[in-house]
Amino acid sequence: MSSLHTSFSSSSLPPRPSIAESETTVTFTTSPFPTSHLSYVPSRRLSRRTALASAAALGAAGAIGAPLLSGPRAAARSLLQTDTVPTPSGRLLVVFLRGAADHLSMTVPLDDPDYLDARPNIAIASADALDLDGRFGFHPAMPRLHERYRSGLLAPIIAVGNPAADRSHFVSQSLLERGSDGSDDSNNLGDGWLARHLNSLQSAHDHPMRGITVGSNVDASLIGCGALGIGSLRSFGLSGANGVTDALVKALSRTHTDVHAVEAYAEQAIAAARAVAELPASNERNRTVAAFDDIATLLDADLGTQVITTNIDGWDTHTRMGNSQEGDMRDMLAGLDDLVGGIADRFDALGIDDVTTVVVTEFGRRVNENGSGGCDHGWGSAALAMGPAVRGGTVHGDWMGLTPDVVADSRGDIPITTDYRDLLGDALEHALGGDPRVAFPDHVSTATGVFRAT
Amino acid sequence: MVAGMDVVADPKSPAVLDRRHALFGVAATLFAAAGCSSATGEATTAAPAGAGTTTSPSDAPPPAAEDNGTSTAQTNVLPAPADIELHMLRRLSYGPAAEDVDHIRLLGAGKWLSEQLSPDSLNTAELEARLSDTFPELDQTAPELIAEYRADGNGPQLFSLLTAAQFARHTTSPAQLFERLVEFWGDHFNTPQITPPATIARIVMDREVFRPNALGRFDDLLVAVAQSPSMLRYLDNGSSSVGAINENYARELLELHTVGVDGGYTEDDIVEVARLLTGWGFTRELEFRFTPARHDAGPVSMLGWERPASGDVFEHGIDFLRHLAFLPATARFVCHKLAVRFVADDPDDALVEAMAAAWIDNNSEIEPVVRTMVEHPSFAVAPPKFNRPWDYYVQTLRSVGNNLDINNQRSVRDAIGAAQDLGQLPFRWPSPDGYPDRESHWLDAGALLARWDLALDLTNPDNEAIDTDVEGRIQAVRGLTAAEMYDGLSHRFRFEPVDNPTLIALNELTRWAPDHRPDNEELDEFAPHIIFLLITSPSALYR
Repeated sequence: MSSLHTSFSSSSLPPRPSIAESETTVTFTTSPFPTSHLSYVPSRRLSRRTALASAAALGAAGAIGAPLLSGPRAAARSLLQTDTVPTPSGRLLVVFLRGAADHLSMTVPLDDPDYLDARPNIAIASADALDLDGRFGFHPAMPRLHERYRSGLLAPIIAVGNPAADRSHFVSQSLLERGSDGSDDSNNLGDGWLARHLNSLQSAHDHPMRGITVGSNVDASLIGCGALGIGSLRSFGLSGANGVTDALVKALSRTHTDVHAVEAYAEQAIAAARAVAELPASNERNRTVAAFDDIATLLDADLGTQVITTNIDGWDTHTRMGNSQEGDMRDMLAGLDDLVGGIADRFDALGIDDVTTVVVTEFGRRVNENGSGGCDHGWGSAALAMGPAVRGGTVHGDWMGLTPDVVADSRGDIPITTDYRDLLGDALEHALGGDPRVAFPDHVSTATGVFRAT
Repeated sequence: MVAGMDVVADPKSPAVLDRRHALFGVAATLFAAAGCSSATGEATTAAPAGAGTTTSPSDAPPPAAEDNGTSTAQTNVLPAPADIELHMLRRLSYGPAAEDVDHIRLLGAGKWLSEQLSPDSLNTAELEARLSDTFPELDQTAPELIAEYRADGNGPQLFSLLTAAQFARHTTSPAQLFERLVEFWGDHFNTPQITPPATIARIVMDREVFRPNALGRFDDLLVAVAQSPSMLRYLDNGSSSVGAINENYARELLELHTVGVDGGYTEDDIVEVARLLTGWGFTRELEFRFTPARHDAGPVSMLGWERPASGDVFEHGIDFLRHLAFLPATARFVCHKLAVRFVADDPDDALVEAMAAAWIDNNSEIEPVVRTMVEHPSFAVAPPKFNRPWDYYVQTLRSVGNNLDINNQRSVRDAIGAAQDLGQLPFRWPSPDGYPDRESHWLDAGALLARWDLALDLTNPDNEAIDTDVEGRIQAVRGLTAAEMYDGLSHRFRFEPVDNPTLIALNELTRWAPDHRPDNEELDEFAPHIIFLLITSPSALYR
């Protein structure tokens, strides 16, 4: 394969940053998202996916007959034999904002003197905010999401969080993803909350693509059910140009047989690679942008996937949060608007109407700004929900205000009024027909009202 | 958390883990015989009969596990580390390479360890001279690098050269354990780098903080990190000042760098630490500077330490950091992390306690802690440890005899791209906890695909862009029978006999009878795929 390493060009280099700054706050000219990975994807193996796909298509045709439908979707589905998997009633996309996204810059309290006092340098002016319900407004960098709200398609949820009130990123991310509140009982939960749900569905067992993390390895919320990690569709799969034959794939499967820890993953890898090789991969160089592209492709292909998780990194804004016009929060939220608003538009264009999207973060930030124009770790955060059962156009959740008494009573943070497990449990129930008690076994849920009963 | 091994429920093999431990019992006996625990590290051959001094294809297989009644249902589990020398190379180096196997066979496990723990005694001068020659930036000061960057905006290249240097060191340095420790501390005190000035600060941190202290004392390392512009920038301590503190560094100093999240501190303690370390910052030239006017010199008290009424207020901060380094909670937390890196995802308490005791007895000196870990009985019977992507990458490069041409920019870019495809690009983990180190994070179907893809690249005879010794090794097995050839290639690439599932797969792939002597054409057709299957076998996924 002589062309393997000749496809690099200078265009593979990362875009030059418009300003040279720290990792959490780099501003690229093309996108605000530094994300966890390089912003470029080297095009090492342009032809990797083709040969395997055609070999697999032959195998599939032999195994279950020629696909009845035409095109890549049908071919991919036939490879997975998804006709044996009941189509779920709905699908769920969970977007995790890693690093603790600030509530008050995203879903802004309007005309609140306590807010302006707490953040003399970085408050979002009420006049600039995009009004939601007279009490709250979105940051002006969020016009697409605001438009969805106005159309009744999106619901912001205020003052969401974990009763554990732990200010460690790592502890709080782990608690949220495992469905725990940090109490002795629930802290023993090992699997992810989404994994517990998927494991409870007999019909979906052994399906290689029922739960997927796109953009990285499998998220903790999906650990424990044999979920699939797809860094990107572009890099996922075997290089067909390297002479991968069916015999070699069979041998590969054989070497992993009966090795407890890896056998199931190897089978899943081979099945998924065959299916995914049929799909068009994103060419975006920014990995987060590519991940959202690939998510739309995967959901459009409808390969039996019920849950997808993905991440947007970079929300740990201890410095330079800025204001309505500039700063790290403006850049991060503009990116959020493009990604989450953008994928919703893609769903509409593709006729995908069964996906519920929930956007969460591990905790919010402190009410008062710190000495560096940023905010330290806090508690209550803002969440977003979109989807067929979402009661959009309304700001959900209770607000206790930011008066000095209220804030002092919660260590300087926004007190929570919605337990994150109620929000995610409702999404699970109304988007997937799942049972919140399976996902959150130590929690007695309270309805949030974010979703319509179905 | 559940152990990663339990992630995939497999009703067919309920006794696998137990059986593995039974197999490892053999290794423990052998390890004791190796004299590795003796102070002098006297070398006696630790390996089973026949595997002591040679890696020839005719080596006898390791002795069968003692039959305790559990090993009949399934024989093809991962092999036990019956060969302690190979086990040490897998755990303490970046994977066995032919010359290292020869070297440890000659020295024995004990002497090899002593040598690795004295990296100054090893000949790294040639490699380091080559690196200095190729990447003069690695030796430049921060002000020099900043001046150059301002002059020509050479940003992405700065990122890649530290990674390229790491490639060269990990694949070829004789000081393998030292390099592993440098990487460990880089994870422990993670500061991701993407663009200047972060890239510049990280280059300086590598040279002036991690490399001089990797086998030194942890308190010195902690103090050096606290004053490094790389950390001061990343966790914002440089912008924390009296009356306007920033808690970011103080929190991670306690949670990630020293006592750990269960180390018994409070939110108030975090504020105290942040106050004590106000005024610690850096100049525009990325050099440490303490600014008394930004410092909160008021009384502070936390974690059994109280600010003295007199003395240098800056030195108080240093004193507190050393106090932290010597706390038993810090010893246990960092030793546990070392044990996770080198021994097991869930290391025995006894191992961690022994290491922590060595830490306390030796004022946080790292060398005795590492020696205690390796000489502890838990090390020899360590369960398989899943390779992180980088581990797998470098191990595979070393096993196929690949040397990255660091003078060739395209080779470097390709290597970096491959590391990215595998999911672990050095110096780029986005949060301060460093790349994860547990199987449950890394093992999934996507991870296997990425590794298979890499192995396809490395074994592809038409791939002229990658320089390996694959061709030469295929030459060496021409004329042998199929059975001899499988074993010969397995020894050349994996330094062990071919395992059972792989043997079955190879037989099915080639359809050669064991005594068949493949002609040149047959060999050319199948050898790359045979090698591919060897270097992707489950035993290669673990170290």
